[in-house]
Amino acid sequence: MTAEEKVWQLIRRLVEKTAQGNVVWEATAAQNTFQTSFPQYSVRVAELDRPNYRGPEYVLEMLDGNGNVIERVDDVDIQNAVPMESMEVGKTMHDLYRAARRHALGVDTALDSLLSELEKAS
Amino acid sequence: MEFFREWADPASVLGFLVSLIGFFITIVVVLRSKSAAERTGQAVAEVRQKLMRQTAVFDLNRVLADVDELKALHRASVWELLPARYSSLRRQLAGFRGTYPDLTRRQKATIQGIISQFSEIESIVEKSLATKQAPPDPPSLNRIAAEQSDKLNDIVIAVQQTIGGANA
Repeated sequence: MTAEEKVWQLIRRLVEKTAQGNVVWEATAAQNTFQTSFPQYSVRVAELDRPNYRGPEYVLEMLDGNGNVIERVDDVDIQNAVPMESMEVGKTMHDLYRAARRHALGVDTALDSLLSELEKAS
Repeated sequence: MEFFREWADPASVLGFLVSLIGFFITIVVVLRSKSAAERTGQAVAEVRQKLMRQTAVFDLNRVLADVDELKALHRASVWELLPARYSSLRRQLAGFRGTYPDLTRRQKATIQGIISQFSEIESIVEKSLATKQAPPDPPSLNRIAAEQSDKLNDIVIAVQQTIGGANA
């Protein structure tokens, strides 16, 4: 298994674990960038503008224990690494970014609270 | 000769009993000294652990003071000084995580997150220095720094509570 294939596996596991609420995401100082951390490593996911291209670029970075970026891949790298699943890559990275953003900004909690308030108001 | 014949066996039995009592006393003395040594060893380990926790609180409070200083430097826009400070902070935190074994998995992940946050801030400031411009959103840097400060403070409180627990 190549490094990119392992990253693809990591992305899918992150989507799954985030949906289960088992991964804690937080906003970073960089725009449209969110991170989650484990005891020795962190993972960042970012949505970047891609000039001359119709959609945004999704980037995943891995950081070591000292905060150094040790791996950086974008959706195109992954699509090239797993051609059989290339159609799925863009959507999965988009889903991961959206889920990380929602979790970091507390969107689900806000929605639950708003729905509860509306329920009380009716 | 008659005397020896008559008393030889009782003397052997008595000698055997004396040896047995001596052996028993020796075992008791050895066991007592062993348990005293174990108690001393345990006390030393407890003191060592308590000292380690107190050192951890001291180290984390120093890091917290450094974060406060970083926020002041952000407000004063002294960007040239900052990259070295971020690196130092990251080294201190990585060192702390490596040397303090009592941290939970969650606390280690929190420290890793703080290291990564300051790595990101460092990257933003480095890019701005290279282009001779201020970072795009200075208040956001302090917001993130303040959040990291709160997380560190939670760890300090947790470690302090374990010291309190050890005293109780």
